[in-house]
Amino acid sequence: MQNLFAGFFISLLIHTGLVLSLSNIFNIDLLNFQADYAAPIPAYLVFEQPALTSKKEYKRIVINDVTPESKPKIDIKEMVLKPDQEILILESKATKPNIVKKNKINLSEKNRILFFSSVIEGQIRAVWKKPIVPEGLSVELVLSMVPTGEILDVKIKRPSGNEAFDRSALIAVAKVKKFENLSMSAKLFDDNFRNFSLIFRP
Amino acid sequence: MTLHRRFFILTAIMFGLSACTSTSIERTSDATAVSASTTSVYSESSLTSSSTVYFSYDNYNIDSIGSDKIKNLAAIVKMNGLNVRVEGHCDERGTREYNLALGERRANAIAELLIINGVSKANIMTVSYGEEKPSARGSNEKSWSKNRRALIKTF
Amino acid sequence: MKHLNKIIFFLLFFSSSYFYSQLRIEITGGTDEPIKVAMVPFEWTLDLAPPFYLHEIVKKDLESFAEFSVLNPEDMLSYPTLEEEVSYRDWRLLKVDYLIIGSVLKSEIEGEVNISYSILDVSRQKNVHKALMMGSLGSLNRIGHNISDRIYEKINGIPGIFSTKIAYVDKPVANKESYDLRITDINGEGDLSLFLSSQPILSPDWSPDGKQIAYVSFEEGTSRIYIQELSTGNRRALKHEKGINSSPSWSPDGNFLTGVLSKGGNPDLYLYDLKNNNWKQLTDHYGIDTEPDWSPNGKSLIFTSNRSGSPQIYEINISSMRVKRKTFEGTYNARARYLPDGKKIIYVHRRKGVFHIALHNLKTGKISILTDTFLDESPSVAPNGNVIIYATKDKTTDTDVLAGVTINGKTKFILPSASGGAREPAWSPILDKY
Repeated sequence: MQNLFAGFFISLLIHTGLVLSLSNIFNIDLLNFQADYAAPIPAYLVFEQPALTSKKEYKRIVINDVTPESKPKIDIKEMVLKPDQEILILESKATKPNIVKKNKINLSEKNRILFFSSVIEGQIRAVWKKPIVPEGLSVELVLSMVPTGEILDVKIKRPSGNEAFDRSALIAVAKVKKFENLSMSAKLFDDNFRNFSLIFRP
Repeated sequence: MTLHRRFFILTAIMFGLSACTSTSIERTSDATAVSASTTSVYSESSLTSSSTVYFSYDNYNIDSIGSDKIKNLAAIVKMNGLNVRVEGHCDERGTREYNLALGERRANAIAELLIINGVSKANIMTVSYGEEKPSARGSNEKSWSKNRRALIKTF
Repeated sequence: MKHLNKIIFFLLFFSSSYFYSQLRIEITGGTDEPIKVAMVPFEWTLDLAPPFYLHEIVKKDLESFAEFSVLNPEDMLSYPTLEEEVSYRDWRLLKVDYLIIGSVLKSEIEGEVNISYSILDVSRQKNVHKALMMGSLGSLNRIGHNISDRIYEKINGIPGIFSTKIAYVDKPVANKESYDLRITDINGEGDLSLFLSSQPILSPDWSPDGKQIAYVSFEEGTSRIYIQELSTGNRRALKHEKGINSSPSWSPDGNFLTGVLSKGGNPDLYLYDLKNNNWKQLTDHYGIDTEPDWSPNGKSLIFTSNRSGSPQIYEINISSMRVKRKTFEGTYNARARYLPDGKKIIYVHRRKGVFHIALHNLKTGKISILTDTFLDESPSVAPNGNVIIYATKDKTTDTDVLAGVTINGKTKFILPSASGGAREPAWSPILDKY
């Protein structure tokens, strides 16, 4: 009997440790955790300027093996990254890279997510014709997208219970077909926008 | 035979139609409504007199003019052994059914005063018409004041 | 025990990835543009010429409340009748959301037609609804309204009301001694008289199956409640009592009626058992209790009472008989009606001396004024809860008219009445149920 309790207690400790460390790795806030769903990011936050037009914030990793005089320097400042473009720069063994520290970039990653979310929201809003349905309905769709903005697939994740309302959301997505003006880094796209949810809640 | 064939064709079509879409087979009928009439119609052939008492808005108190009228009428009714029918009316403001109730309050007030003045309860009948039978048309205080009334009819 | 540990470990490990928060974007609104519908003139295979066109009936119906825009046939690029013939690109170019195609086919049965049609989702190129309808050639008009209902329902998720009727009392200005109980389609067609009398008629109320109407008639010299069967015209009087007999309201199961009797000395609510023909008292108060309406779930009644000093709206629970006051704003609130969802009511509300129709949320107590016309009264709700019709006065002509407004307050309309004396509208339930 005692052995069983000891074993159980130890395994409880191990599993608690696992949960705590895993939640840390995945940045899950345990104290504010809600099992049903995470609060959707409000995409209506106002932005001063979409700072992506400013080219100063890009990482400046410059280097190549050859002496600077013979090969032209790749001036990152002048390049604007397209969503499916990545710049691969070879790092020289000889010299040290000159990296601009990350915290000097004005737009945090979270703000970028919010900005692009509002771009997506706006394009859906422009075409969504809400039918005359009872109040309080909401439907959640899951979209999968490629970096060009093209929507590959859409599924109903959580139906509203009203077929006409759900269909109107699917129609809005079908009308958009391809989101415009979503030029962002590949990492930002993969982490957040490759698969995301749309919640229609008028 | 045709009925069965029709049914078969319909079910075949129905199965063909029922993909992932909704389907329906519907039959409309030709029913229409029929007009009705009534045999009983109220008439006032033996009416001997009719007096009017007026009221203020949303109120069923009888003023002095009214109570004098009723006093005199009570005497006549008693003397001649007449029957009395008191009709309560309202102006058009407010809802119809609520006005039916208000009209009844007015008719009852008159009936009570008649009884106080000696008329037997058995000889009195009260009816409320609410706002249904106005005497004056028009949506202004002049017309409304004419409609807030009780008619005391003797038979 | 060891195995159990392993299971828990694996469950935790893999389930932690489920808790990883995915990006969720909330869409809180859309465009105000009406839904665009195109109905291609149906193929007609009968020998005789069509008496009228189904697509014209549907266009008129769907555009009734400014909720749809319907494409004119002249503006169409192609005229398919079968799904295989549809070139979706044509319709996307015209920005059409839904396409309706179909045919009117000869039936084997003399005088009958078979109509098949499909409702297509243009954006996703999917068939939303397929139907086959049968009816007589004479009922082609009804078939048109049924198609409108089906389209409305598939697109909006709430029933269409284009096959419903409105009962009302007509008192012609010209003739003082004429009261006429009539029914009409919501577009004003099919107007016919149900009961004509020289004495007042009021408070029509439809039975839940739409086959009978109860109303108050003064034909015997005092207020009495009658029930009339629409298909036969047969009438039946409820057991009448001394005093007022009025305000009939049918129970949702069709077995009872509530009414108002004043036989107890003052107007109270009573319950009438249609099988046993007797009255049972529901409220007992020295004030005026009147204008009852059944809740859609049959559990309570809403009514007007002046027990607090002025007319206000109260609710009584039928089983517990508990009465609760519902309105606290203003000094005159009367003639309440439940919306079909049972969560809201509409009633006559007086504000600054003017009578309006108000919409009231029973849970939150929030009120919104729906009308701004003159002397508004007798509101009645459409069975889909989306439109309200009521009686009002046209000040310029001093005539009684029926007016309407959608529940969101956006679309207003007036039903023209030839006689100038239309009042007491009562909206029928959904008829032609399948």
